[in-house]
Amino acid sequence: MAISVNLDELEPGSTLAEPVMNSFGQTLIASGAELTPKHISILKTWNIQSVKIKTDSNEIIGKYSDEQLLFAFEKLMQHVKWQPRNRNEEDLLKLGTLFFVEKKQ
Amino acid sequence: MDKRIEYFLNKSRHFPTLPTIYTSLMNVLSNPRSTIQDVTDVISRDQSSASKLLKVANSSLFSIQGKINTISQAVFYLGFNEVKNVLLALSVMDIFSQISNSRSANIVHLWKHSISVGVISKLLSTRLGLKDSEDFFISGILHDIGKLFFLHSFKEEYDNLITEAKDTSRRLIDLEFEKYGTTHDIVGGMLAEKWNLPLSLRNIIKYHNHGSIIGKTDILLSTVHISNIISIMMATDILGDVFVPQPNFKVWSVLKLAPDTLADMNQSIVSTTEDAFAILKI
Repeated sequence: MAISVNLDELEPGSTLAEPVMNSFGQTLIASGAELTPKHISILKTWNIQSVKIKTDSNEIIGKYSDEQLLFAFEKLMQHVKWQPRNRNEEDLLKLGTLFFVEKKQ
Repeated sequence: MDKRIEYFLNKSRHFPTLPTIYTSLMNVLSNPRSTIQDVTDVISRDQSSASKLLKVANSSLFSIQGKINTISQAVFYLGFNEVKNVLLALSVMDIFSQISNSRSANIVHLWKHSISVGVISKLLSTRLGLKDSEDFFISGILHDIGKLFFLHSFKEEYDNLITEAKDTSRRLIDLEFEKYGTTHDIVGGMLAEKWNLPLSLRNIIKYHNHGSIIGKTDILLSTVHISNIISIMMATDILGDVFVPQPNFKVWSVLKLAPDTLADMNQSIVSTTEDAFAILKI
């Protein structure tokens, strides 16, 4: 999945989900490029407002400690009275945990 | 069924009438000779709807490259049907703002819930790469229209019923049945029929909780069913003692989601719903 990020909030190391193009439709930076500080300053000189960045749930999960994640999961499960029956339902609860842990920041 | 429900459903000049812009648009669209210009004219007559349509069309809900500046561009990029659906969604937002106590926490929550189910359904349809994804946003917006009807008709009485469900961890649908002899999904279906909404949308309103119709489900119903559950999970902090329902198992074989599909959508769901709240504010 991709998310739109404003240039002043853009962090080096993020991966472009869509190519950055100029108004003539020419590609300036290709999709999939890992953004360096140099890229970001070039984007600024081109006056680009925002870019699409790839989001990976496992990368977000990596930002939190096991305790934080477990706490969020337990909070979620107070409202969930069922056990996942397949990988899709595990995925659904993972999403719920992410909502919780990101909100509690 | 509570006699008052029939009364409110049939009372003219009451909630069940759709705003004129939507009905005139339906008339124009059902005429095979209508042109893009005719459609544009109808929409442009209502400046407030026209400017909101442009905001929605330019939002992250529709990943359109470049900026849409005019109504005819919006019709061109989104298509007749999606434009009609966005205007219907705007009409539903108007009904929210007509409710006298629209600042009540329960009403604000229903407003947010309706928008987020619309947004999540739309994002999922994009994620699944569906070509025909026009009805997903409006299906989410409309799925709980029966609750909005109850709030509009019974005001505090129904507002208190929602609070009771939260406080006692009982299902709202059971409390509705005890009090009114019917439930929001059934009444919503009746309203949709009065509005002449297509069968697919009426079915979403009636069956979104079950996720299937006589044991069968399709991609639209499955998507709204899961999006409804995701939206409930997003609001766990204000849920009180309300529980997140377990999905109907049948929907997974229809959706065929790759591992981590939902978890990877986390940030895009949060940011796109926030955008939509700002655009559709009441």
